[in-house]
Amino acid sequence: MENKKPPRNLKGLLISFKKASLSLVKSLPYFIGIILLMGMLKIFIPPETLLKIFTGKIFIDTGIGALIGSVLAGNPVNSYIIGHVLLKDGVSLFVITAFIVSWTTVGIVQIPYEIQTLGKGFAIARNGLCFLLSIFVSVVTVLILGVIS
Amino acid sequence: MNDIPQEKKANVKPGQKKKSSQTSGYYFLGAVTLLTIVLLVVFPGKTEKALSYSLNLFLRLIPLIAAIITFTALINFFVDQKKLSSLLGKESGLKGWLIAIVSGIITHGPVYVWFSMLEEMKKHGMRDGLIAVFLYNRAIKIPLIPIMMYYFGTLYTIILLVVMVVTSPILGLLLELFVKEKAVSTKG
Repeated sequence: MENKKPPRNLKGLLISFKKASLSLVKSLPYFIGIILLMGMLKIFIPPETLLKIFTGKIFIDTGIGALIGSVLAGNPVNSYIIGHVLLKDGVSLFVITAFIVSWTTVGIVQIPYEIQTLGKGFAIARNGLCFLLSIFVSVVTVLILGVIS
Repeated sequence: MNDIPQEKKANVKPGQKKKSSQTSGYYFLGAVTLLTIVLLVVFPGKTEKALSYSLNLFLRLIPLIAAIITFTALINFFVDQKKLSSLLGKESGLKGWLIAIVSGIITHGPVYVWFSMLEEMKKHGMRDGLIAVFLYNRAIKIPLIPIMMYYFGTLYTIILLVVMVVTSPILGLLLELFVKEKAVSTKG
């Protein structure tokens, strides 16, 4: 899609809508693929399976939590529910926070589409940095919570 | 610089990039479909549930997709490239970071639905750091805050959200450093 400005009339508006629609239609294979993967992840990886992955060592588990959150996708409420279940089962708040933050900020499933639209360098750098930031944010949040409460 | 189409910048024939990215979209869908078929044979019950979940999700996304098509078309039609550059481009300053944070928080729907519109805004001059900040702050959803408070407590929720907002510009700046360095090393 080039940046040629459409004329400021009804025809121009229709051209703009046509371009925007075509752009999203071209993205449909990615959309459908992502949505199918999200369904599979939701049904095939229940919270009780996640509990078995953690080692009990906070540092390693925080990384694992961030990694699982990066792979899983979907409504953030699901990450709260899973996080709550894990917390009740004794998993550290550092791990839960990294898990919740990476769930909503990192998107392994959608990376092919992000590369197509925003570029390979951008997609890899953004997801990699968001992964690291999820660990940083979890440490800062839990430490502040500890000091305040 | 942004007036130059991406294909010309990379010295590629016009349309070549789009065609290859479209093909990769079909490869991606093909691979996922193959995985679905295998799972359907091995675990028919679970896979049917997963497909039903995906179908529901897709149906719920249709109004949002329509809204994003409208929004993208209106940006293309009304927004002047210079104006958008001054708001969200290199020279936007603090105003740009604030717009990216607030718009990230108030927008709805899955993050991938917004990629197409952000691609268009990038072509109009939106800087990479602000796109990253917008996407990062989409993690903060005002309607979901009470639910998070219910599960994890008010104090935890407030601290987490404040820490996320404060760290988001750091992400934007780091990303720009990385993407810029990568571009320089590619040239070298």
